Amino acid sequence: MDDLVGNPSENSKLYIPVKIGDLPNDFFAMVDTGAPYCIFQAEILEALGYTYDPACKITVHTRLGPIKGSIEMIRLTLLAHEGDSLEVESAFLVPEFMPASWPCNFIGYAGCLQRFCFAVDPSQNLFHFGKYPEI
Amino acid sequence: MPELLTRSENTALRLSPGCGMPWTQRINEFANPDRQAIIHSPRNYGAFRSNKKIETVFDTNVSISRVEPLLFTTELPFFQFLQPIGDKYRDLILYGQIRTLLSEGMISKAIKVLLEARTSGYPLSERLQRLYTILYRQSAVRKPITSAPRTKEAAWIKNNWDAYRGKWVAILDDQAVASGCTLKEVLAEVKKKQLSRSPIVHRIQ
Repeated sequence: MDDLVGNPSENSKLYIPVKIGDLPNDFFAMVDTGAPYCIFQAEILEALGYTYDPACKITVHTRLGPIKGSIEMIRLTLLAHEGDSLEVESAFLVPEFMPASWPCNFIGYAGCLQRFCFAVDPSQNLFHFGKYPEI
Repeated sequence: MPELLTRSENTALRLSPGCGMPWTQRINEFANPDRQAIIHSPRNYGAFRSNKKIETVFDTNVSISRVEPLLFTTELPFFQFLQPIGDKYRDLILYGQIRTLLSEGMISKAIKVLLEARTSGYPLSERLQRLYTILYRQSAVRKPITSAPRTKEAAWIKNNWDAYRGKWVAILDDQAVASGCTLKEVLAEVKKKQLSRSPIVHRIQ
């Protein structure tokens, strides 16, 4: 999906369906190669039982300002409608306080995307992904 | 040079008690080897001998070896109190370094630094050990799961954005099966319905 925003004339973004942790339902998440970590809606992390740990506090600078949080590794499953899906242990930022205007769920580069191969075909609106070949 | 410095039990530096001559005279003798004086013999002090040289051997090695660098010894009792402070300081420095790396998104480098700290023999504190355990879990596993394309659900979101703004919705194909103000109530409602296929849940901003 390249646009889930109400006004289709705005800049297109890449949205892919994912499963997070043990939650039974799928969620849309935006592919953001500019973000270091995965940052999901606070309610999703709460439903999984993850809370902010002040002992491991870091600050990440985002377009909505600095966000203080702690790092957790959470299982993220990229759902495929052709071939096998991919389950990736991804680095999530569990925020201390989520900004009220936080738009959606983001999949970051260093924390997730870097762990597998991926490619985008905008003409077909497809997101290809796969595990690194075994050496 | 005779032994002038010694280390007492209290590790204090002091002159050897055996020096009988004035200090200035002893320095003059040492600085002027032409004065064929044997240091330990006060009778020969100051006498020049023209035809017979008496070599004076200055056993400096002996005296130097008796003076130990006190600042770097670890045998002194008060250093045992400094050891835990040193460990905490080292942990603080390492933690600050890891935090800076993680704030910049440099996960691989943070893992490398933690690995080096572990292999160097220094014990990691609990919080650093926890960070290491969290960051080191990296894996990508193929799962034989196939999901239907969510094109219809995405189209529904685009078309019904205004009506459900600020709400969580669960969408299956081209209809909303549940909606609410919190994720918890939407998930509960979906579970109650026991649908054959899992809907996709999204918060419309």
